[in-house]
Amino acid sequence: MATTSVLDEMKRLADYLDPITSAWVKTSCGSIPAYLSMNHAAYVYKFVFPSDVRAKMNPHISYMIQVELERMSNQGASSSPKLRSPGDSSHDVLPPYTETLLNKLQDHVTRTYLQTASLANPSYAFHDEGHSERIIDYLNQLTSLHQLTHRLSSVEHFLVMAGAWTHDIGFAQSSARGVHHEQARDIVFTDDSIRAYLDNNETAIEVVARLAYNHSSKVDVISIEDWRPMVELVRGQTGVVRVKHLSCLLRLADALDIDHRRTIRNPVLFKKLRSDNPASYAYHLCHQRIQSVRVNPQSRQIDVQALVRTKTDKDRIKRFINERLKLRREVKTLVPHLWSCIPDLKDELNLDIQCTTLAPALPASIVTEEFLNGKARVQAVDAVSGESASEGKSSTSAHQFDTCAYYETGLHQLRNRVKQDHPRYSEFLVYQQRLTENIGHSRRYGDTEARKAERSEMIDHLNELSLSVLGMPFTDLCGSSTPTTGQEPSERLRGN
Amino acid sequence: MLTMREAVQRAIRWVDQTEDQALLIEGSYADGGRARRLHWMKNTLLTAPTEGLQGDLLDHWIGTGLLPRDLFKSDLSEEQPEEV
Repeated sequence: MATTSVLDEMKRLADYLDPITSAWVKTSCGSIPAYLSMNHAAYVYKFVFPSDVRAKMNPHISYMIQVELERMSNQGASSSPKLRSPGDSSHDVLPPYTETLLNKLQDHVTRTYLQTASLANPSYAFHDEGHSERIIDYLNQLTSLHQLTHRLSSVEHFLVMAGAWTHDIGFAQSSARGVHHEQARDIVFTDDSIRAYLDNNETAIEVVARLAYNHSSKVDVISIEDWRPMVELVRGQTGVVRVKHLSCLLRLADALDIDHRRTIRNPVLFKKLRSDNPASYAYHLCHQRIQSVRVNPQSRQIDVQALVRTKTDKDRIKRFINERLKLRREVKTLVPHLWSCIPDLKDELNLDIQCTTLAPALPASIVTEEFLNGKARVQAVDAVSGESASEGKSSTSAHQFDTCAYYETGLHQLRNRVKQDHPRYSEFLVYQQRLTENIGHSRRYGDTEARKAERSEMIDHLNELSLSVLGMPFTDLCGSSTPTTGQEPSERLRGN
Repeated sequence: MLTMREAVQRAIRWVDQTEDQALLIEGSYADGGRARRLHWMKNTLLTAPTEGLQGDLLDHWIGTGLLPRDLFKSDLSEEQPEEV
C-alpha cells in the first residue's frame, strides 16, 4: 500500500475538522518523512479524528491503520534487545563500537523496512521490529546452551545480530514469501547505510547477506555452504565466522517465534480478517492460542505452551505446529546441524496444550449489542465454534457511571499488582490510558455504541493481560460489588 | 509532577539538541535522515493547536520509540541528547 494514499486520505478527512486543526493535520502530513507516515496516520486517526470522521474513511485504509495501531500496541515501548550480558559462557563481549553500529543498523532497518514490512500484506503474521527482537531473545536462549569451546566470538555475535535485524527486510519490497529472502540479500548488498553499519567490510556484508538469504525454508539446509571466512572489522575485531552454524541458529530462532505476539488481537479486526481471508484467519488464530515458546536449559528441549478451548482446537494447534508452521520439521532439520556445538539439544518438541474455558477469549468472542426500547440484548458469538448466548438487560445512563467507576477500581487494583519491571507493564499502561480516555469521553459527552465497543475491546485486552499476569480475570479486580445493571457485556460473559 | 507545558518544553529542548547533532553528522535534511525526522517532530509539536493534542503526541511518540521515556522523569534535571 502506498503511504501517500494514506496521507492523502488523512488530508481529505481533515476538511471535516475545525479550520485550525484541519490546517495542522494537513501541514504535518504534508512535510512528514515517508517512513513516519503510518506512525503519524495512526496518531491522527486515534487522537485527532472523532468517530464520525473515522466513519468516513476509506475502509481499506481504516483497516490498515487499525492493524498499525494493533501492531504498535503489541510492540509496546520496549528497549533495544541485546544478546545477554558479557561474562556468561554463550558468547564474547560485544565492544562499544560494534554495539553502536548495531544500534544504528537497528534504527535504520526499523524505520526504512520493518515498519512497512507488516503493511505490505497485513494478513501475514507480523514481520516487524518486535519479531526481530524476539528472535534475538531466542538466539540468547540457544547460545546459552553452547559448549564453552564453541561459544560465539564477538564478531559472530555482531553478525548474527545484524542477520536478525535484516532477515525480513525483503518483505518491505515484496509481499511474496517465496522471494523475500532473495530481496533481503539484495538489499543488504545495495543499501549504503546497511553497508556502512557493517563497517563497509565486504566479508561482513557478504556474511549478513547470506544469513538473510539462508533464513528461508526455501533454502535447503544441506545446500548451505560451510563457509568460514575470517572477518576483520575496523576496530581490531577479528575472527573466523561459521556461516552455516549462524544460519541454522538464526533459522531456528525465527521458526520459534510463533506465539500470540505475532498477530492481531483486536476482535473487530479479527472478525474482518475472518471474512476477508479465512485461510489467514485460521493461521492467526493458531498464533493466538500459543502462549509461549522457550528453549528449556534443563531438559534442553523446546517447550511450547498453548491454551485451547476444545479438543478440535487442540488438534488444530497441533497440526499448525507440526504442519503449517513446519516448526517440527525445521527443528528436526536444523538441530542436527547444531549438534557439534550443542550436542544434547533434543529435536522433539515438548508440547503442553491445556484446555481452558477462560483464556484465550480475546479473538474468539465477538460481542454485539442491540438496543431496543431501552433494553439491550447481548449476543456473544464464538468465532471458533459458532456457539452463541443471548441475554436481556436494562441500561440507563446513570448505570453507565457506576460501570465506569467499577472499571476504574479494576485499573487501580491491576496497577498496584503488576510490577513496574514486569515485561507486560508497558502494555498495561497503554490499555489503562485507552480505557481512561474512553471513560473520560463517556462521562463528558455521553456513551455511544462505538465507544461501548471500544470499551469492550479494552476490557478484553485487560482480561487477557490480567489472566496471564495474575491468573485472574480483570473483572475480579473490579470489586466484589459487581454491577448488575450497568455491566458491560464482554466481561459478564468472560469474567464469570 | 510535570505540567504539560514543561513536558513540551523538555521535549523541544531535547529535539533541538539532538537535531543539531544529527545535522552535523548527516549534513542535510534528507528524507530518511534523523535530522529531517527531528525537524518535523519539532514543527508538528510546536504547531499543535491544543495542549491536549500536544500531550497525545508526546504519549504516542514515547510509545512508538520516537522520544525517550526517560526524558519525562520528573527527577531529571538535565536531559542528555541521545547519541547519533
